[in-house]
Amino acid sequence: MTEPRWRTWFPGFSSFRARVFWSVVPVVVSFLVFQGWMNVREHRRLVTKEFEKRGLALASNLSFASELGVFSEDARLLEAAMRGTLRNPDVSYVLIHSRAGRVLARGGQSGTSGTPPGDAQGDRPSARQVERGGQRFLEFVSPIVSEGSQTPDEVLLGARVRPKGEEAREEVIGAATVGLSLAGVEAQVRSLATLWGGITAAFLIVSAAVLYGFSLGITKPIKQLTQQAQKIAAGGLQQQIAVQSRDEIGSLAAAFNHMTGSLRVSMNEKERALSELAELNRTLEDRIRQRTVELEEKSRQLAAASRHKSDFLANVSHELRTPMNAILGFNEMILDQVYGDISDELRRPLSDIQQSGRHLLRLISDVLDLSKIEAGRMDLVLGEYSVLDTVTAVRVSLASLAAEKGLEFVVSTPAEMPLAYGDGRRVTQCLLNLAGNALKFTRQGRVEIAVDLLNEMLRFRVSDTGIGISREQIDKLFTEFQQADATIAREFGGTGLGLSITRKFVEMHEGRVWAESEIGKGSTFFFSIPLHVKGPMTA
Amino acid sequence: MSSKTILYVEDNELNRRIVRDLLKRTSYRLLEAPDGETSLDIVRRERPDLILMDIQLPRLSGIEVTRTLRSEAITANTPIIAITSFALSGDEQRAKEAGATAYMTKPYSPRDLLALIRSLLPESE
Repeated sequence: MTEPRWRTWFPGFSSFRARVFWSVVPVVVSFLVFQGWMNVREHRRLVTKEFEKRGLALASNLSFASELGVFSEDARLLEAAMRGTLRNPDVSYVLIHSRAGRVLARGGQSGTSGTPPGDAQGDRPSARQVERGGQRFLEFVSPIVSEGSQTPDEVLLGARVRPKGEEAREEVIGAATVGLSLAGVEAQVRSLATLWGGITAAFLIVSAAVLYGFSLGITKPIKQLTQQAQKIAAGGLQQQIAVQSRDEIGSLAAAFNHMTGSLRVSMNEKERALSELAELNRTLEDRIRQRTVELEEKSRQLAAASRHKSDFLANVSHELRTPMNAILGFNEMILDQVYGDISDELRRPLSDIQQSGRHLLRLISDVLDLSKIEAGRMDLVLGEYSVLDTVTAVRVSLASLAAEKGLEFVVSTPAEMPLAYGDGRRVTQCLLNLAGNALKFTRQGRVEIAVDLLNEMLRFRVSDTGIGISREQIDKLFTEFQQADATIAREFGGTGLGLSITRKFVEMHEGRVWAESEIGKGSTFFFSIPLHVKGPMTA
Repeated sequence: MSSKTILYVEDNELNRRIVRDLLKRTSYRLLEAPDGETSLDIVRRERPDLILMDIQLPRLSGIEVTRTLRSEAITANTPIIAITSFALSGDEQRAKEAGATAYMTKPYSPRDLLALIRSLLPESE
């Protein structure tokens, strides 16, 4: 979660405590300020009203007291009248004007050159605020009224001698002005405001302290929890939080302790399992290493044995061929009458020796080939070869056998064929095996070798008019040492290895070999291989 | 009429006798060497017209001897027939690469061998 922008600007707002504080304090403060302002305002209104009442009363009293003084324009009388008024501490100055506006007497604060009350000339007292010499005053003007044509006697006697029912004649003869200083009022208001300010501040401090304490009670355990969680995250699972409160925070802390305990247990289990695993791993590695060493040794021994076997086979091959060469060579030369004429009786057994010798030789080659294949040491010798040359070589080497048996031996190939890529010698051997078998198992009729190229695949075909093979026997044909019938082997000879070897070589060329046959009508053997073999193949 | 000389390099006495008997009734003169080193001496001394070279020889192999002969001026063009033991081991390929003119696989037919010799080196003009 990302912090809102305002929190980064006011970091003080991000803690829980600060949020509590700042959400409560402004409300309290604004309430106190508002309340204070209202109080001061009301108080000021009341005080001012009281002040006005008093001022008016003073002015009214003065005007009454100075009626005679004004009437007689006697300064002493007026001063006596003013004296009582000036005794009042709130009164700053007193002025008495004649009707014409002339000041008849003044008293109180010096320097107050009173102006004649303009519109206060009415017969009712009035109040106004004035400013004199930088000071503010509340000024009350009361008209001085004379009760008509009073005679000095009447005034002196103070008795009403006028007959009842006669309307008194009233006449304004001057004005009495009383100036009350507002300083008192203002000081009172100010002190009240100060008092309220003090109360507000005190309230604020107290409430802040209470809030702080309260929030501290909440945030302290939270802070502890946080630190605890950080320690646990750092791996210190031994930590326990002291649970002090019984509230939600307390139960949270208790739950936290419980969780830590569970974690500690599972961590211990995990560590134990890990150490067991590590131990197991180590012993396993040791065992694997030991077994690998053993296997490597075995592998070395096997490789050496295989090499020895291969060398042995190569030697056997060579050693067998040398005497075979002598036997066949000398015998052939005898037959060719290199050593002189031979009788017809002798020619027959000598020919048998020659044929048996060749057969033996082929058996030896087949066995050696197959053992090489089985040992996985048979490699194709890849190169370009001519398919037509291959077919020709097979025809040439089998022509005499076909002629001897009086069989028609036909080769049909396209006039031209591209060079193929593979092991030409092995391909020749395969074709030789199939064609040799065909000639072997055919008493009369014909044997045909054909080859064609279809979709980059070479297909060789050898068909005969021989004894044929049953379907069940065909399936076994290409397995080692299997001939279609044991009695056939006796009649026709052969090791039964030729087809197995052919199959292996064809498969090494990524091709396949198959046969179609019908008992008594002859067989057709096929094998197809790619015109171009991809890579070196091992049996 | 001078008879043409053939050198047969072969370590086996029996096999040497086959060729010896085979050529007895021809006009070819036969020289024999039981190993590679001897054959090189004889070649330099007698300058044969054709060499039959068995590939499997003790010590110096027929392949190496053939290569040496091909590198020398006097025998650079002399026909060499390699006689290989392993019909399918790739010896013919190696023999050809070393410079052999033709090859016969052992066991060979003396009849075929004589025909090959005659095709490469006619008996007389």
